[in-house]
Amino acid sequence: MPEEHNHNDPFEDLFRKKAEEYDISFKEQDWHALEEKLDHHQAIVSYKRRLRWVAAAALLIVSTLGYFTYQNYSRIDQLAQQLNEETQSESTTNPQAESPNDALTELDPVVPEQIPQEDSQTNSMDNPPASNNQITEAVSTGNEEAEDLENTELTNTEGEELTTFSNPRFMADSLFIAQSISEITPSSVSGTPPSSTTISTSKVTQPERSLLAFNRDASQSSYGSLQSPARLEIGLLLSPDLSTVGGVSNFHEPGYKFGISVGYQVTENLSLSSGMVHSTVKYTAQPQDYNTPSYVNYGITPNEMLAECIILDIPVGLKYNFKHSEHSRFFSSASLSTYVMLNEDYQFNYSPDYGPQQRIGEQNVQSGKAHFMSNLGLSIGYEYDLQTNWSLRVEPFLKVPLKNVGWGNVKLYSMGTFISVNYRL
Amino acid sequence: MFYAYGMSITLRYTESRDQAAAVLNDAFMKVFTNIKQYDTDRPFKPWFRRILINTAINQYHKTKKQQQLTEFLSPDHEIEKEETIISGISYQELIEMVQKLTPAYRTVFNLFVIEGFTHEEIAGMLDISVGTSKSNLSKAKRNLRAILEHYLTH
Repeated sequence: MPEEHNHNDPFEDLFRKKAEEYDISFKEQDWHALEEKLDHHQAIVSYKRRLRWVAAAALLIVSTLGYFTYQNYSRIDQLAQQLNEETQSESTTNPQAESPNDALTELDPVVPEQIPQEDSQTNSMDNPPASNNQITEAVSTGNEEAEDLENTELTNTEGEELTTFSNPRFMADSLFIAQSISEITPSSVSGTPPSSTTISTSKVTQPERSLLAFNRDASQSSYGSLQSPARLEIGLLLSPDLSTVGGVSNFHEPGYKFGISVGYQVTENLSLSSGMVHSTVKYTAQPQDYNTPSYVNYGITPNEMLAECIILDIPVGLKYNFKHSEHSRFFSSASLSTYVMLNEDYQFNYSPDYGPQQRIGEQNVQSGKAHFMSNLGLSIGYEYDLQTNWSLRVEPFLKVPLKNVGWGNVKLYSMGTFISVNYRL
Repeated sequence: MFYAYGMSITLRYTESRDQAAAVLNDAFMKVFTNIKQYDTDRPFKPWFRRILINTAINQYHKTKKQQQLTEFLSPDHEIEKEETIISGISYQELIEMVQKLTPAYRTVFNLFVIEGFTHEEIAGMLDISVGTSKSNLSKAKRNLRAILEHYLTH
């Protein structure tokens, strides 16, 4: 009790004593008022929770739609580019078809405009009398070849039509098989095999050729992906940490982050990512930006609160590569972070009016409390391939709060730039 | 149990029972929404008391402008009377006397005399100077003495 309190003042004693002699009856209407407040509070909490789920669902839907839309446009661009390349190659290639003695040649659809539309769209397979397996592919590179193609059929020796390539999927599959064979038996390209199976191509109409080109590309793509086993990757990352509360301003001294990341490639451009990041977060907060338990400051409002917290950040998110070059790519990512509060140190600075011994208050908390999906992480970055399986990433990020975290109940904003080394398994 | 305890505090900081009940409900809401922050190793009552007082002070700040206007319109609450010591007064009567004080006087009187805060602490809580806190306490005591004497003589 401070000295200035006058314990000899009977007037003060009277009020102190009487204040403890309370006998207050309960009123039902007070409970009803409190019940209404509780219901209202519960409604707000439920609304915020629903809003959070709706926002997450909307983000997921928009991301998914954006991804597929982008993929679709990429595919169209790819097809257009392929058609252009084929048009150019057509004008420069030797017009003569490969000799049937060549063990393997490659099917190369001609420019659609140069192929007349006809009804006889059949392919057949020739089995030579000697039963030699010879894989031959007619290369058509001009009007003459188009004529040849029109007259070429895939038949057996009896002239029996074996297969009709009216089904585009079958056409692509057959082509894929032929290409696979060519990959498996490269020696047959130059040498003369003991037996041969001749595969030639009849005329193919314009839409079928487009589809053929598309399916061949798809087959190549599938085949390529089958050859790429590196779907899982791990990384070591490091970043400075600039954190603040209440808004993206008023930064205190920087902290740092380090940790590991794990990624799983779902498609060529889309990856699931997660990890564990040990974060040392330092920030300063004004009284309106935090809500510590009220018993700590005994009703006195500090001028500011300084915090240094050690947080385990567990993000789960998606990473999308949106621009490629030969050895590098740009990407963006979005993640939801769960913060586990490992250690929290707080210092309260009071007004100088309270005297030197009361100017600073301290609080240490080691709760280990987890704030599930408390922050949304957004980043954009650049990845460069150092070697076949190693890459280096630079990834500026911003983490915005979805809810309050820590003993101080703060809305924690963080930003920095991850530098990471990644290895594809 | 905590209802009566809470009301015994909020009644001293407000002008009526309805206001006291409203402040008490606000304090209960803070308890319910921040119960995870309660340190179970510490006694509950001081924590609850702190929330009650903080809530009452928040209410004081919310209505500060209105209070200043009221005090400006009726500045002369000081009544010079000799001190009278009365022990037969009931709790309810005492509360009614305290509630007759203006909010600024009442709040400083409660914080200093009943809760035991220093003038420096009160100044920080109420955003006033230490001198104002001392002045308000002095005026609050003088006014209470006057109210008490008036009560006994009628």
